[in-house]
Amino acid sequence: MPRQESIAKRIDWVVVSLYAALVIFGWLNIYSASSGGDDVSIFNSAINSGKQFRWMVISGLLAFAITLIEARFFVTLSYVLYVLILLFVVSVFFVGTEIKGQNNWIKFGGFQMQPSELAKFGTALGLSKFLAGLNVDIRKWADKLKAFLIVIFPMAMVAAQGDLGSALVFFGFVLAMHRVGLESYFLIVGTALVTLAILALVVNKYYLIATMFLLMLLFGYLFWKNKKLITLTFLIWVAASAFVYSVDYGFSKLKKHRQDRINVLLGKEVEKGRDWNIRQSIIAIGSGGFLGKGYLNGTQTKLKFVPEQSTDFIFSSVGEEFGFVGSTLLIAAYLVLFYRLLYLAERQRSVYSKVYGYCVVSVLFFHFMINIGMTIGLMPVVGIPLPFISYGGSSLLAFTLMLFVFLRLDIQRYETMR
Amino acid sequence: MSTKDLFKNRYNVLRIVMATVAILFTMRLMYLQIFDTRYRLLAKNNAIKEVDIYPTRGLVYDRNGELLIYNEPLYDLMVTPRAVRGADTAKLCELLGITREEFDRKWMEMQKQKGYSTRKPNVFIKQISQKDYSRLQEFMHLFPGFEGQERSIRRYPYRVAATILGDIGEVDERQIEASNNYYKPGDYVGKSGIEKVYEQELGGVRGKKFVFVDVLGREVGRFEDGKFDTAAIAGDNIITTLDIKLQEYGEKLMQNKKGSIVAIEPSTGEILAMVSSPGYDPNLLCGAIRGKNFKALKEDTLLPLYSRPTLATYPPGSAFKPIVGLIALQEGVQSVDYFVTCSGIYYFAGLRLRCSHRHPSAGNIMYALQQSCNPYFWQTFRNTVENRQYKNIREVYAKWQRYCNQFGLGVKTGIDLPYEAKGNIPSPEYFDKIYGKDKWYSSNIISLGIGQGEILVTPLQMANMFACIANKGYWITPHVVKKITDPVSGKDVTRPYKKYKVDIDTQWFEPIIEGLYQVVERGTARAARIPGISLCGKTGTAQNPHGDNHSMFAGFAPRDNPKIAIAVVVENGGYGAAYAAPIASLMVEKYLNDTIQTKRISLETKMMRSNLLKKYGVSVNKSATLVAGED
Repeated sequence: MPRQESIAKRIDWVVVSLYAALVIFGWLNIYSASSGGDDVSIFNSAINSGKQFRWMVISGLLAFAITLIEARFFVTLSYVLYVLILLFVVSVFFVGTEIKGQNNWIKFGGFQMQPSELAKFGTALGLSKFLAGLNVDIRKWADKLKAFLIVIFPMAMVAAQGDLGSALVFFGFVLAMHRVGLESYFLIVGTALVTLAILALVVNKYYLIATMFLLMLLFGYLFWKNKKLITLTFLIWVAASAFVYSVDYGFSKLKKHRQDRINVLLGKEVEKGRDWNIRQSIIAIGSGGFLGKGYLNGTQTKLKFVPEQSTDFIFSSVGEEFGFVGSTLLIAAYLVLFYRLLYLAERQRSVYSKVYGYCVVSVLFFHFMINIGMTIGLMPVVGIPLPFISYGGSSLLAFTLMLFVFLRLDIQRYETMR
Repeated sequence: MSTKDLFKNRYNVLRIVMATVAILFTMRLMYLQIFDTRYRLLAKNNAIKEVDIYPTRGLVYDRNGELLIYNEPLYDLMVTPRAVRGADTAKLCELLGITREEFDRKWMEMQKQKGYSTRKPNVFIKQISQKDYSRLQEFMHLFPGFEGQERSIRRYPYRVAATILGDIGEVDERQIEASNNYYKPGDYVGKSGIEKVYEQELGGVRGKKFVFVDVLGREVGRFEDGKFDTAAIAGDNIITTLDIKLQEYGEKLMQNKKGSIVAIEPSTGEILAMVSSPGYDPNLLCGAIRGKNFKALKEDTLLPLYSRPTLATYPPGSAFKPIVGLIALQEGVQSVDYFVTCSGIYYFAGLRLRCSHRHPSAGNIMYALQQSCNPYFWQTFRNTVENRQYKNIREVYAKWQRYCNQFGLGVKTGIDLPYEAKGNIPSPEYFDKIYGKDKWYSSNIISLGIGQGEILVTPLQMANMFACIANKGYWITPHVVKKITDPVSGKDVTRPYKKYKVDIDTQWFEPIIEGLYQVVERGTARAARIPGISLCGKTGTAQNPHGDNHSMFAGFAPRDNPKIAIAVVVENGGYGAAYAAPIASLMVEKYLNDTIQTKRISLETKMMRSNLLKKYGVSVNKSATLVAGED
């Protein structure tokens, strides 16, 4: 185990600085969004910025503590932690409290948190541990199945608790699996399915199936000699049609507000007022212009036009007050963070650390992509936080935990972890 | 793990995906924040609201400083349903003086209002009087979520002069367009009378303030500390020419009769009183009850909304004779002492025309007026239009018409009220059309000589014509507004009114005025004689093919330095001496002496009590039974 001063020397200060900068920048924006232009202190615990400050202090302590813990502790206890966290998530079904339509909060006294935030950490540990196994090869079907089960189980739990956004983030783990050998067609088929799903919602499903049928006939005409290819095309058509049909059916079974959110995104008419969040968010961001209206000067922010602005819609406050320059700088900062983390992941000697690093960066990236995509109208409103920026103790703690465990692994990157 | 990393290249796949997403986001932001400027406007509309500040509407006074129109504060009871907490509904109903059922019904109606919101105040009960509201206010703290919103309503303490003072109502589409969108739907503007004509002066100028509103539309602060705000400019006050006591007296004399009274101060053209009967209480058309009452008044067969003094036209009959005389004297076709035999019948061009009554033949124009001798004025008119000095009758008649127009007949007087008829003095072209060009003669138009035939005048024109006689040759545009004052600076804006002169020498007025004096002293209008006051006037009986003739009188007093010119029309009242002359004399006496002599009280009572409603086919004046809210 390295000594304290060598930890300070060997920890990756680029990531630590970016982390600190994002958290502080987020905190300032939470203040802007929650003070409503009133003359209150940023530390006032009656508003979100005051509460966030407490979480920042706790997260700082947590980060410090983690860097002191021997990395082997997490590696060895990966499955144990995975199971414990899973149990914690499951416990929500019995002792959970519903807040804002999501039945995934646990309360201890005056303190409440979302175990689902922790589930991503647990899954990352479990998946890394499994893929680092001696004879594990993701290209083998049995291992593939096991790896997917490790991800799907917590994902299903989270989805069942009504947190569709957090469940979506679990798709990020596919990227980590891809790094260690998952065939690329998983990504291609996955992307194709998403495209088809969107098409199924936008256009009439029967037209879509008919169009695909015509395409199949055209394909059959061109390659009529190749019986094998024609059979394959036919099977693909049957599968695609079934998928389109089931997406449409599944959509009709979704809760009304979720249907609306997707419809808003797809540009379909919805009941008046349903697209309020996204409209207000885009107005706030769009009105920021090139340089923004200045810190604490955003009218949309100050007057609370954007709902949930200090949490899921914090980026609209950034966009309004710091404009195009500020928004793109923030995006650039994330990109630098991701690239740096990928670089760190690549320099790991052990598969465990590498996969874990990819898990961390994939989860962060999915949060980033879905959250900002939502606020600028490119993704449906699914309500997940922007890492390090959004208000919320559970998410800040969970991201801090994930990130610093990786930094600790990086400190010990020359040791073999398994 | 094997030392050889088979999937090293996949490091780049993820990096490319991330960079792509970042670039996609940047492009989207570029579009939203730089290229599409729409959002800046949307944000401004979102957060900065322009709130209108309505100025107080100007007050209206009579010539003696009596307040005629003021703004009464009223209260709308507003409810913010979300803020309502365990209100004692029974107690609230009791304070509002409504039943529980009414309360529930009003609540349901409120929920159906346009723009209803549970988070914002909604109008629950409209227009609660200050008295009722003060009673409610004491207990307001018991009803969280309820609040009073001050409004104002026009009030007319004297319940008369409705058609002159006018009313206000919601602006219509056409007016909004005409105002270049200055007015907004729901704004109140003058709809008739002074309120309409002097809308700009009374209405003031709307102010504006820019405020920040939150997502619920609640005001949360001033934009730039009110730097761009403009203050509302209160409407000007108006001092009318009306003598409201005289107006009230006139309306009383005219009750249960259709007709008009117009009283003008000859030297200034100021309208002292203008009665349109039947009238109505102007408070009927204020506030929430306006719509219902307007409908009732509009459907009333007695036409209370119709401004008779300026719109109703009648043949002036004998009241027109002074003008015929004046023109003849000016044209020099006969002298003052011209003699016309009256045997009761006037034979002319095969016509056999009758005089109204038997009287000795007139040896001068004064006596002819006093006896209202028809043959005398037929002959006078003939002498005028058969004047050989002119090329033909067409040329003389055209000049005759011009004289009439100079007296304000057949043309609009230009009074500052919204609607005015111009009456009719037929033109030579009119007769050309009827009889053919150069194929009409004095015999065709002889009835004009006694104010009958195609000639039509309004009561206003009649009063104005006598004001002109009183002034011996000029008149000033009759008007109802004397002064407009700015309530802040106190500055007066006295408007100059146009003076019209007639081309008749002053000397010819003397004999005519003498004749008019004799009419009242010992002629056809003896019933209008007021001891101590030299009233000059002329009765008239307008032929009415639809029923009894209209009773008319026009005149002025006193003879020297006249103070009041007056015209009275009582529809279906018969001879001028029956109603119009006595009513005119009472008005004159009231105005000049402020009181009615004891021996004339019985006449006053008789006029006030007389009831002609049966002649109009109704038994009761419905409009008079309408009640304008509580008082």
